[in-house]
Amino acid sequence: MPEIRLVEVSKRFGRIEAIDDFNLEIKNGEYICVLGPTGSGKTTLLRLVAGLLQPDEGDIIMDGRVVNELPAEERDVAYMPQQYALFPHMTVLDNVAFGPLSRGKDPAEASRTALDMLKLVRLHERADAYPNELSGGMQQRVALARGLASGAKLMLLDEPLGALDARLRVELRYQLKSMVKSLGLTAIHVTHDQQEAMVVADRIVVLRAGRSEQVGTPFHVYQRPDNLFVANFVGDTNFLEGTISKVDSAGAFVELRRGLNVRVQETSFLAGERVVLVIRQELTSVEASDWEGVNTLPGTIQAVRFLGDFLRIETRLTNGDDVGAKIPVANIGTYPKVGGKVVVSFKPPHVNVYTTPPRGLTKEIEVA
Amino acid sequence: MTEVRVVNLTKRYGRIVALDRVSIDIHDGEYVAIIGPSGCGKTTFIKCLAGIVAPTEGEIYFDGKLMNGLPPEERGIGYVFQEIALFPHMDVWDNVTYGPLVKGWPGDRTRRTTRELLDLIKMTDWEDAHPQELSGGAKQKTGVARALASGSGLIFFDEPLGALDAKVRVELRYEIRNLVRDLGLTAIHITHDQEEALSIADRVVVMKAGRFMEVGTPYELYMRPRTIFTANFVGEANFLEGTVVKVSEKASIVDCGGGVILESSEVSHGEGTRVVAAIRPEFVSMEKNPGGEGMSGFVETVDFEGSTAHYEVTIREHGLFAVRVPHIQRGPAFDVGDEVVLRMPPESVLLYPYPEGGLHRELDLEMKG
Repeated sequence: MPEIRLVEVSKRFGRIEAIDDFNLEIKNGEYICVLGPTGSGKTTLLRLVAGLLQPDEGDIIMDGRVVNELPAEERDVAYMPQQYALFPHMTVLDNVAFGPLSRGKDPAEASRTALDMLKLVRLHERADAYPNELSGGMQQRVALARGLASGAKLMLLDEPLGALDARLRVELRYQLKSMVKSLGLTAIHVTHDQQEAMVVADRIVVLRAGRSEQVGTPFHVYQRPDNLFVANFVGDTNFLEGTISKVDSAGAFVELRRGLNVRVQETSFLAGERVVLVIRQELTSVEASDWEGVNTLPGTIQAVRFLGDFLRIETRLTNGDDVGAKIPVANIGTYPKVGGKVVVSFKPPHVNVYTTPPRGLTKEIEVA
Repeated sequence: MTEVRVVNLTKRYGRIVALDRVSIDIHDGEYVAIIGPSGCGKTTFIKCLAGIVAPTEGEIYFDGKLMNGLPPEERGIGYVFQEIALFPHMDVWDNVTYGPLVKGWPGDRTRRTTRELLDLIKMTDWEDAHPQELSGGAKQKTGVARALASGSGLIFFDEPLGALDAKVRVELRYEIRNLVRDLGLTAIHITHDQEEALSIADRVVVMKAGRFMEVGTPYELYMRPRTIFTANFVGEANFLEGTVVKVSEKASIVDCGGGVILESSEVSHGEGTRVVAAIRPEFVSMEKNPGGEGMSGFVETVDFEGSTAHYEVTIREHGLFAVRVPHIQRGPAFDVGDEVVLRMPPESVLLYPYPEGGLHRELDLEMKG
């Protein structure tokens, strides 16, 4: 059973630090999501674990054994690259049975395993079809079944739902997790989609420029982002810049530009410090009112975006700052109008406070 | 700027009907999104409008003028693809001015338009950069500016954000929307991402198998989908089969079997009609109250989604029922195994006649096979 440790792993391509001093311990049976923007090193990380790349520094340890030099075929892993290639001249069943056969299973047993895996991805009725007769989503599920059928205990999945339509992707993410769990496998799943990571992962690793920015349960990463980059990359977030004006035993006051004031519960900052306030858009509310005060900031609605289950109301505060609020559609009374005068409010415990980064907020949270 | 009228547009490839008698009127300045599963004919539709594909039947009018037979360059359109190929040896400025130059526009007009476009998409600081120095999002913005520089009144977007990271995709969709509004253009935008369509379009077209299933504002399509397919494709929905047992002036009662009785504010189906009830997970409220009134079951799965928590509840004789609860600061309030009662307001229970080919086929999202 795989237990994986990456210890101070670095991988360079020329001058580029693709993976930079990376540490992670993965427990047997754990589902890990590596989340990060394009170019953050996600695929490199998978290829290192798969044995398709060797680290320049550090160790990759599987079940207590350093495997840095161990070739890919001798590691007990199934690697599913982003561009999976099914054998076009083989049926779906033969594609899936290929792994078990090449591991020396007899044909009847290999077919049985293949059919079991096809049942899991709900494609057993298409076992005799050829890949080009299937939709992109079906082909991706076949590739997944092929990975599962290999018998490997560690699944390395590079954007396994990437080629699917948005609607199907949402449906399959729940299935993917339960499949991996029901087979007792360990998985490392790479994605740039934070909602996907949130739903499938036991723990999320947020990667940026080859470095781990945070590791934690989805709930923890969402509620308590370690830094501004994570706060921006995971979830829909408001950022307000200001200065601590007063600190007392129960919290602090933060003065935004042009005299707007916010109360926070955080007490670890000093008066005069420049800070960034982080508030989730779903914990921000908007009301048609002219009562203003601390944490109740006046502004004008700039845009109303219908998202389906939520409405996003974008408001420009009187000091020029922009704030978004996500309101569940089920809770909407009258539909808000662009140009409407409103107050935006949020509760002190819902405000996370961070030190203003030296290179500025925009650079700090930049994704691309 | 352009008004579009499409009448009975049909495209056949041999025996395959890619477009099946579709018609639509698009107003000047309107932003229309087209969504539908892979292979539904979305791209064929805009290729016909752009003049890249010749329709088998039907007419296309821009501002009252028949377009059939006109080559793309004479239609006054811009076209943005998923993978925009910028000229790699030219910087951003030269990429954007290419179209006007080829058209022989005077230099000052070209410069003014390009300056304005680069300002609008916030790329002025990057005008000297070459494509390989740009991020995916910046490349895509440059492609949009290039498509618009020749003064088109109508622009087609074919999955313009498909190749980008989720986070960048969301930011850029609003930028594109604002740009099109500021320039007063008419736009048709194809996407497989229903949230993208809902959030930026004035009207959304839902396509399936070469047909327009439904056309409406995002709010209408989401709150009052006219077909089961739309209810499933636009947003999520639970589906329960049942029979209307009682209809009054304000509500009907549907018996779904196994003790599940639903009340719906839809009254257009007569008593005895076999129906499918569709209920969105986010309109269901859930509480721990064994024996309470409502649909009861046991929590089977709990998933934290960030701003919401998603649960699946096993309902006896019906299987899994999805419930989505807005974010609560303390996190998911229910655990696997909890016995819960579900309630839904009658106006959130949508009713449809039971489909002839069966419910399962109606919900199929994959066109092949």
